Amino acid sequence: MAGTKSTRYRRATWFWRAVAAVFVVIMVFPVYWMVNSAFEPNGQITSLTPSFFPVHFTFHDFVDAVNRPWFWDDARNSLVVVCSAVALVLVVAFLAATAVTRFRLRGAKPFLVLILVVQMVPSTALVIPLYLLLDRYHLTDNYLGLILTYVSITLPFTIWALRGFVRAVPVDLEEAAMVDGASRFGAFMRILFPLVLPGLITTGVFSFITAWNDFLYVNVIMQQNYHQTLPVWLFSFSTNTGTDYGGLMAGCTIMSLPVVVFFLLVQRRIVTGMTAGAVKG
Amino acid sequence: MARAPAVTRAEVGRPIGTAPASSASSRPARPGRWRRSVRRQLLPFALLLPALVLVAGVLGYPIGQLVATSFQQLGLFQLISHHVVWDGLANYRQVLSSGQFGRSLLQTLLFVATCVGLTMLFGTGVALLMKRLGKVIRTAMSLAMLLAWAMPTSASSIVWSWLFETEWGVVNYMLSGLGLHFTNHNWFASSLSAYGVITAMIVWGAVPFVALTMYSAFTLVPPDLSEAAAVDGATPAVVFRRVTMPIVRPIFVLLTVLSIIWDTNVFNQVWFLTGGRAQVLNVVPLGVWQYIEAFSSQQYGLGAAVAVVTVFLLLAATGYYIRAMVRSGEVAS
Amino acid sequence: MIEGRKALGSRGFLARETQVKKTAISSAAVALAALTALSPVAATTASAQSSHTLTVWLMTGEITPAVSNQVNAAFQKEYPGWKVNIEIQQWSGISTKLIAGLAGSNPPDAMEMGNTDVSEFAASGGLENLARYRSQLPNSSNWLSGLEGPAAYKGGLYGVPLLAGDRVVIYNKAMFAKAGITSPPKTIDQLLNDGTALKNAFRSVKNFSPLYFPGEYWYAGMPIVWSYGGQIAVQKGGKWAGALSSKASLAGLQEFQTVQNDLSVPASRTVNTNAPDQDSVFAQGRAAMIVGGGWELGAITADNKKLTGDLGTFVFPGVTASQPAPVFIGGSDIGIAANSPNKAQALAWVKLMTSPKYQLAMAKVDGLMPNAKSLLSVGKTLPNQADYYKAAALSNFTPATPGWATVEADNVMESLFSQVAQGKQNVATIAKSVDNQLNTLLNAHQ
Repeated sequence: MAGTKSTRYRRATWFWRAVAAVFVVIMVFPVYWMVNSAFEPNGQITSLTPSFFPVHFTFHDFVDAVNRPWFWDDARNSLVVVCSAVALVLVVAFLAATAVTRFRLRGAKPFLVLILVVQMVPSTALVIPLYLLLDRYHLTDNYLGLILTYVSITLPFTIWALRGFVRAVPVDLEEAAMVDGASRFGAFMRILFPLVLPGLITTGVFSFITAWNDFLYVNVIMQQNYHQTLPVWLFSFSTNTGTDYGGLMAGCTIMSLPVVVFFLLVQRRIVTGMTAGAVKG
Repeated sequence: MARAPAVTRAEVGRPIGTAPASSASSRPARPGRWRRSVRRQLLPFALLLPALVLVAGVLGYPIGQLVATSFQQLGLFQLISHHVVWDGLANYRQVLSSGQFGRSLLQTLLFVATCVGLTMLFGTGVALLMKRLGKVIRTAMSLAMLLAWAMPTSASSIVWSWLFETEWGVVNYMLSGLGLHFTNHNWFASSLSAYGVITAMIVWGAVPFVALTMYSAFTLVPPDLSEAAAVDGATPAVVFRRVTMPIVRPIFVLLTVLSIIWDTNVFNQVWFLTGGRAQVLNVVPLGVWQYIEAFSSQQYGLGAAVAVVTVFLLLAATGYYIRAMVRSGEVAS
Repeated sequence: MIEGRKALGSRGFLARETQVKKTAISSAAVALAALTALSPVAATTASAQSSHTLTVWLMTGEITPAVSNQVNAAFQKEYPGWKVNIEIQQWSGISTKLIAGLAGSNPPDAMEMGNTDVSEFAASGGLENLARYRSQLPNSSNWLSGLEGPAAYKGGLYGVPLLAGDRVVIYNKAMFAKAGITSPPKTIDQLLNDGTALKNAFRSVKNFSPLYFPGEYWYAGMPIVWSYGGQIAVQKGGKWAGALSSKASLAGLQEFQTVQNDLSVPASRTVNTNAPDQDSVFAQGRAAMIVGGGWELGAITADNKKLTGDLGTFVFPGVTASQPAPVFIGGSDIGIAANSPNKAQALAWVKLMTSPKYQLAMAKVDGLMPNAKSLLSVGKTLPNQADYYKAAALSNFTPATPGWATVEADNVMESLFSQVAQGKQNVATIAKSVDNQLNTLLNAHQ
């Protein structure tokens, strides 16, 4: 009996593995197509018979892309601005999520509803008033202005998501730490923080990608060419006289790399977070 | 699931999860308790303050401006010269009486329902699949999703328009290869077909976020809890419904609400994929209509009114769940 | 700035997530301290801009530093101690950026604008009226009308013509020879005949178009209408009226339909030049002709080097052999912000940039067409450019009213030509409905 059950389980597992494989192919295909086109000469991209592998393999587009003006400036700016924004948003959101979850705080509920309403306003409608606001405080063409923008546009989601993660951690763990002499704040940092780490990482990835790929805000807020970030550089492949698709795809491929590296760095943490979750209960 | 302690310690402050649901109970009865209550509010307020300052300071003014603009007649001249011409409800009257409003609303409803439904279905399914399968496959799946998620919208829109290109698109090529009549098929010939391609792209782009978030939500479910339930003879379906779902529901509902919000305001993908010809193709959900009114027609007041109306529609559509989510703080854990 | 980078860049929040030694407050303090460290950057930028820096916005992919540096050097002779800060702008989102810049307290001093966008900003109050400096501006008596028209608004002048571009027919000489065509067509009828010959000669090529002509390509379609004497719209007593359903316009639209349907594959009826990219269609030998700008010659040879010796050009033929079809002039104007504290300097820079000396440098070095008729003779000396410069002498443009921006943004013209190419309704019905649309849009925001 037990044997047949495990055989059935194993067969089912093979079925689900096949489903997962199909899923992976569908997810990756457009990405693969981007990379494939980056390695193809431009004319090949639009040929009537699509080639599934870069037959006329060339590095030309990559070399051309990194040699474009301001690539290194923009790459550095992207890293600085996005990493600062993500760090800041996670700290602020973790504190806020703790405040609304662990305490009976007056005004917490209206606050939560309000920040969700903020998310409902289309960002294309906010760009110009936001620029005028930053302009008043001399924060245009300034990294601080851009970082604050990214923090505030990703904050609502981050607070809401972290609230869910914080709430799922039982209060008694923190209480136990406090009985052992930790301060209330210390209990949050020592007990709660590691337990919501998977949540922090997922929301961190969200903030990272949102800020990393933003063009709308950075294009308006930053002015000097060497103050811009990579998405603006990416658009330099499109001129009035046409678009260099091969170069654009190479540029996008280069731009995706840090996100992948970032993810690989945090990937193990997600697993650790899961085992950490097993501690409680 | 008897995990939440029934005791409230004064030193810890009062955890919401254990407090009585009625707010009346926290109202101070005597001056001494009032003072204590203010002191009790200090730490949580300090924790909340940075978030409050950031959201109010950075987004408060632009949103206030947007609302004010919706009551103004604001063209490019007024915008650049900071000239204010109040116009009462004229913009709202024009929005609500416009034939495009009804069309856009209907398109948005169908489009958002389809996108959100598919996104949540696939997202949750994939997260469960990741939980079921081994570490290697799980990593492969996360990586695949991350690659898709990390792709800039400008790049993914271009690639998707290539895939569905009429003459040399890979999709037509492969479907024709299967013996179907898809040679030179134009996917953007009709509004419905164009919406189909846009939906596919949006769901493709949104599944990674939902699946990865749901997966990390599933990690919050203590394994011993579901094991205990399984030992007690519960089927996986029952374990999922009784043990897993209550814990992940708040995050599931949150993701649904956020997806509704984001898909309603979707603009970039539609604009890119239709090559800026959204109106020609009659693919004008509210997010696109708002942009067309504001930027193409330089009627920023009208565009702002569309945005405000959209926010109210979104509130109406998600209000029930938002209330449930806010309240769920009082019953969960 | 380097300090700020050190403090921010290396402080990966991930590094410390496992052992949380620092409290959140202290790491927040670090982040804030790092942010404050960045503020001086802003302060220096702001003060530098207001005192001795002239900021000029130019569009990407056009005037290169090779030319603008010469202009800056000449400018610095007039204004010693001044720095010129050229900021290159992307086309995507440019309208939003211009609006924000002009509405803000620190606008760029001078900015390039596409000639189809300039009329929108001419009426906005954000640009300085340059009418009284007109006589001081070089070549102002013979600027290309397609650049000057859109910058004029209610007797004022809100932009100075900067550079131009137009389109002619690019053809494959080898294909013409194989089809037995000895000289380029001089009339539209000859073009249609040559098309038939090409179609016969290249029957075996899959999806072959004698002239690949995307249905939405109104920059190429409108010349046919103009050649028949048609117009987009006419101004009567201060009001604009759509003129596409006039007899002459209808004849032109009908002819466009014939040319498009006879010479181009059916799949091209609903597309524009970018998807599929018409240059690659041509480079792959699936078309013997396209209508394209001078910049496209390079794109074609980049796609297919073998075509280098085979490319020829001719001006799009007209109804009669005596006069080719008037071309659509594209290009840019450069305006000066009304709020700029450096208007005199901005004007000086604009005068230099639009002077014959640097216009000719721009033509030779950057391959961009100069802004005045008197400078077009330089085209004879430039490889492959002769027909472009020849065509520019007979050019036309869009109605000069702020409402035109809406027509562009709503893709009214693309839609018109695509509908005519598809032919689901008769041409008169389509033209009539577009005229009604134009009557509303063109008279708005006046």
